[in-house]
Amino acid sequence: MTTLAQSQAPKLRPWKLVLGGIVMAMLAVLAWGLTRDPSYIPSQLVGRSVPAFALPELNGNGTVAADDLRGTPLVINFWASWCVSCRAEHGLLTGFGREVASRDDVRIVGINYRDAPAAAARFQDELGTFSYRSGQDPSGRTGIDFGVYGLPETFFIDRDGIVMARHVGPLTEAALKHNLSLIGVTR
Amino acid sequence: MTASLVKIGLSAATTAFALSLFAILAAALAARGSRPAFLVGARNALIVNFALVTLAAFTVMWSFVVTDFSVLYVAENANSRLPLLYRLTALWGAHEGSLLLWLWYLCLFSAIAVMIHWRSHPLSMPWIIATLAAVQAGFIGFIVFLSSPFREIFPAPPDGRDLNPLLQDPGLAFHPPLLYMGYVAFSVPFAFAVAALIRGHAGAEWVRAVRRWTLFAWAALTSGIMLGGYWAYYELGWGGYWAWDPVENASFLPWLTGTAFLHSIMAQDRRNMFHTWNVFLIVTTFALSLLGTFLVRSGVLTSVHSFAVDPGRGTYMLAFLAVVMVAGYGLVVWRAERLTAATQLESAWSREAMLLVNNLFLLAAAAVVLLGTLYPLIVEAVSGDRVTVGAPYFNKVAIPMLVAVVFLMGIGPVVPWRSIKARRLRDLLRWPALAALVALAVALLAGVREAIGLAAIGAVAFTLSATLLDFRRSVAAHRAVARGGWLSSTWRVMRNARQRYGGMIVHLGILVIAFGMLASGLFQQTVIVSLKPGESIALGPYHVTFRGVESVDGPNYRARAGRFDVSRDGVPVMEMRPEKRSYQERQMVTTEAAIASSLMGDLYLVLGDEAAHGAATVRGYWNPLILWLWVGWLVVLVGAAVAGSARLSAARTPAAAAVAQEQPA
Repeated sequence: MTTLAQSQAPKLRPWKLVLGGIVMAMLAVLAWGLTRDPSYIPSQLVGRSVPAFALPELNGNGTVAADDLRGTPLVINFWASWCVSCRAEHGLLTGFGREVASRDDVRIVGINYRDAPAAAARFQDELGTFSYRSGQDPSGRTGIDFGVYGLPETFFIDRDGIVMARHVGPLTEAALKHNLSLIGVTR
Repeated sequence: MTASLVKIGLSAATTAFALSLFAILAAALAARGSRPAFLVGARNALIVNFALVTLAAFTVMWSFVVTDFSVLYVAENANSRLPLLYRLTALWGAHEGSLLLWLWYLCLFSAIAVMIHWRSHPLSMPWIIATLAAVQAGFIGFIVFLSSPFREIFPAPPDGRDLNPLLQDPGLAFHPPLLYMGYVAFSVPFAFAVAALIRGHAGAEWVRAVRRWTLFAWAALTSGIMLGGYWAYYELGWGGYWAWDPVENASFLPWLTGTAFLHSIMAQDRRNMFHTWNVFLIVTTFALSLLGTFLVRSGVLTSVHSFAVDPGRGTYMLAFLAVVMVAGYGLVVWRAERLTAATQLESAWSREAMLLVNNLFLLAAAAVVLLGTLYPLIVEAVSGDRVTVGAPYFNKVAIPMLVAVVFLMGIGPVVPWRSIKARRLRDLLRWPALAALVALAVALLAGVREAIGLAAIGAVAFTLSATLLDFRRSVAAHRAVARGGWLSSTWRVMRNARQRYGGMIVHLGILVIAFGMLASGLFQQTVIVSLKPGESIALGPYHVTFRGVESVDGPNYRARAGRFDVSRDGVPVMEMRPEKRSYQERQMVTTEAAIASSLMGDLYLVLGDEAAHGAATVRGYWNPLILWLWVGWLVVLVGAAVAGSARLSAARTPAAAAVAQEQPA
């Protein structure tokens, strides 16, 4: 009986160490993955041309179209009145918009994503009006072309119309500065 | 009125959380002191939990039905104009609800498992209940404290944000429930394995009990994956069905290890071997199911909903995964010496050896897919670079292993248990080998030059002929004794060995799927051209002539429809009309591809932009034999049902019981 008990006692074997090592390594990688800032999501779009769009302007006059915006570094911000995180970046964006209005080496447009014009107007009345134009994307079709998962998302496009960066979540001063540097704009 | 409804849901879920904690404690006490009253209490807690979680899920679903936007989850995922069907399926349209569905399945399967195995597994029951209750507690705690679909907002918004438009499709609406059904059903075999490990008695009994659960989980997972592919092919319009996306990989991983487990438990059942291996496989399969949920829902990898990630949620899910993995693998490591197999491999040419090799290939495929999926994370952790691992990697490393598995599918079932004489094996495999050579020659003549494509064609031909010959031999042997007709003999053979022939039918289904994949992958034709009216293109066996674009009004949309006359060998066969629709109410433009499906192949036309003088850009695909993928899926389901209907033969039970008794309890 003793021999049987001995033969059943747990022993340290190489396969156990390997198994334990793999399990621990995997958990460590996943834990590290959690600490990453999920804002820096590699996008399929980065390195490619900006998707074409031609959207009616939110205020009702004219069109916001990709073709008209070529030739200058461009920032595209997807926003909506129902998006809570958009409120966090609103002040930064309106301030940046005023700044952009006085320079000619960078432009910014908004895309009002799956929203109603009236609600979007109320949103701006409450928090401050954007000093730049926004296109309406009520069906989210343009958002799908851009691969938008959740708002807010901001895309940075260089003068050749190539998407250089995508920022997911509310913009911060540092993130804006960093991403602008990728499209050759200093702030 | 309805606002109080989700409050009821939250109370029900909170009660269920308390009951699951009670069930863990009571079951553990019952195991220690063998007090049956505690065990009955724990069992009843799991059954009540099913009722409570059903109520909780119902309150959320009802809030969708009445579009109660005071419920945050409803406001974020529905809209007053959303059709009822999608309001119902919106329950699993986002994070919180998906987890609620997960939990609901878990409670359903737990309740069923404790009821049907209550009498047959009295000694393992405390640990089975404790394990299931612990998994329940982990999920309910998450839902109640961190990811509540019961949260309300005040004031309620006038209208909701609407369901993600990508999810507004019947194919995708039913893809998650099937996938989750598969994921979660593996929790029952996992609980049995944990019980077997704790008791240090992983004999044949737990294998018997989990066989049907595993088959069911496997069939559900297979269906979930296939439905995802079907949707991708018919709705996304890029002519493919699988993109090696992290989310797709997450569902493929437990499928691979679950398939390995489904095979290796046969060796334990028949030959009383591979004990440690089997518990390792089921722990791995369940851990990968959780990992799939974790990857999709935490934003660790580039995937959906990353911005909404609350760091607390990701940490909780990782901690939960860590507990399951450390406890599961820890038990395997700790108890391995008690599970030493009673028999050893007798020959390299035996069913059990073939099963082992099949397992190694499936596991290796799972390992490389897992590595490819996590590789971007690893690289970023080490060097800070961001990389993406694309389809070329997976095609290069995973496909050869899967081809090897297909090849083994031809040898394994014809090789008997214990051993076979080399000469006999040669006789058995002579014709399949010849069939493979013929198929290779035909493929070379047809212009296939890719090594892996040729290998796959050879493997499919080999295994198909081996499988059919095996059917034929069994039926012929039966006829020699019983003198029935071919049909009645086939029927009897199949009925008498449903486990075996169910499995063989599944193999045939897999071969049909592989056939469809090969043909559509190797011989797909794609054209993107600008056509003027009257011009035509050749696609597959068809001649497609563009006739122009016209306006069409539908009930709730306006469309531009392209008219194409399709002829074959100069004979007109049909007219195809791909459309671009703009829905007025939803202000949404959709592309309606025109697909003419037949068993020979699909002709797939998409209308692009219009240009001057009535010209238009046209994308056309000829996907040969792609319909066979879905046909194969149905065959797989039939086979799984046949195998699941089998009772393990009574003749084997006494012997197995005797072996089980020899092992110290």
